[in-house]
Amino acid sequence: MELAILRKISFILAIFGLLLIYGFSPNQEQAKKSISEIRRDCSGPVAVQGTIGNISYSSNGNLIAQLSQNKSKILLFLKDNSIEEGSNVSVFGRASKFSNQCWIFPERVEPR
Amino acid sequence: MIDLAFCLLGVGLGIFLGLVPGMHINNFLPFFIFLSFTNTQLFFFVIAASMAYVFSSLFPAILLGVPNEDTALNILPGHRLVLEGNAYSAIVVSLVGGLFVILFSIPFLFFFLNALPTLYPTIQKIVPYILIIIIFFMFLSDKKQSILVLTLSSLLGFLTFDFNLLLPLLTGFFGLSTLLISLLNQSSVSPQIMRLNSRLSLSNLSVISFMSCFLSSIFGFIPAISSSIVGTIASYIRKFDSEEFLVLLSATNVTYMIYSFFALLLINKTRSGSAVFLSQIFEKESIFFVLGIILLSSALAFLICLYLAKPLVKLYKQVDYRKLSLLSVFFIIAVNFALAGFFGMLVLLASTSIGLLSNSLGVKRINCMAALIVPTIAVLL
Repeated sequence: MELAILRKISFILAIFGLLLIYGFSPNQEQAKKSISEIRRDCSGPVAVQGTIGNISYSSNGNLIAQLSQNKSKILLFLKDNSIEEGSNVSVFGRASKFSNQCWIFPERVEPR
Repeated sequence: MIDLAFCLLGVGLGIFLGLVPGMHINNFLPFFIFLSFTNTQLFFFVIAASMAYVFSSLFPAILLGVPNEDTALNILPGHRLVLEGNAYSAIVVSLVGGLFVILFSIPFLFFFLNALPTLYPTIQKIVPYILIIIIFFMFLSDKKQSILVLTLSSLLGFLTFDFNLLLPLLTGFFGLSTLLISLLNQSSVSPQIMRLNSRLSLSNLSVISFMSCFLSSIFGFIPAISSSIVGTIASYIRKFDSEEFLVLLSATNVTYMIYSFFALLLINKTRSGSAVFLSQIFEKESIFFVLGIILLSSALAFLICLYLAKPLVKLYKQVDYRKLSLLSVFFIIAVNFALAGFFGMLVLLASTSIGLLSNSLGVKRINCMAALIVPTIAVLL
């Protein structure tokens, strides 16, 4: 068993891996969705607009808020504690089920 | 391009976590979900960290005898090779096993892509009966006294089954008992050979990798069957020397991690902490993308671990074996206390006693795996 051959095999695997990554990268474009649409299909990248309400800390110590749009509401993790209740924002992130609820994990929150 | 950097970050974190004795990547996964990464970045980061962790966690198991839940069986052949002065070879052949099995797992994956959703219910039905045969075979192929070890291990397995105490259970059976036996027997370590001193041929490597893939394909998608159980089953199908068994175990660990991601994609079952985490963001069309990350991160982890092997064995050479073993014993106790608490310490004491008993009766230590196999049978039947 030659170490040089093993290194070559690992290089070939790495290149093949890179080809697969570039060939099959999933489309991560954040589709503009309404909150009720997100609640129906709670997955994938999303862009949503709404009003921030009920900012609080979860039992795990995370800053969370409700994001409401018309009468629909969804839970949102906040990383930026400068965001105030009542502000209108655009949220870009991913929707995901966590602890049996639908959440938005934001990548960025922009004032509208 | 930026997303690829998360693959490197993941590999770095995975290697670091694997090198810290007693650390498991599952302990860190819950924190990742709060990171402001995109889905793609999370895919890269979590899969790369998980794959790299599987490779680097071999080091503490082989050199120090401090395993995690997946590398417990690696201790016995690893320790034997370390005492013979072949620590470097033990690590390299284990890494090679992990790398080589990836080549075999790809065709298996393509087969399962089509067949698994149909085959899974049938496989699930026959697995408990295969495990029953294995338990009988464990008893019949050993001395009569092995019934004592099998019974005690099974009882301890049942007692701890609901409490997620695999770490103290397996560490006691295979890690702490091995270190104590070495200390009591005043075992000496031969001077370490710093080159690859292996009799392993390419054809042997291929056969073992194929076997690992095949068995993991049958058992790897079934909940409650760990990679250590698959290692035990394999050891009763074919005779392995220490090197071959190390290859088989690391190959099985790598296959298990790979299949855990695909079990999620194909049959929506989560088989590892990493897969549970990714189930929040997985999409079925990501299958080849995930395979790409697995290949890239495994190749990187292999190269980095290969590079680390020599300096780490050199460092190991410089430390007195007795002192290092004593330090490992204290470390194992401290880690188990920190992660499993007082009840975990009781389990560690019981499993170490059974490991020592198995040694003094002269029966195979692998009989202790009844602690996982028998309760698994009960759950699956």
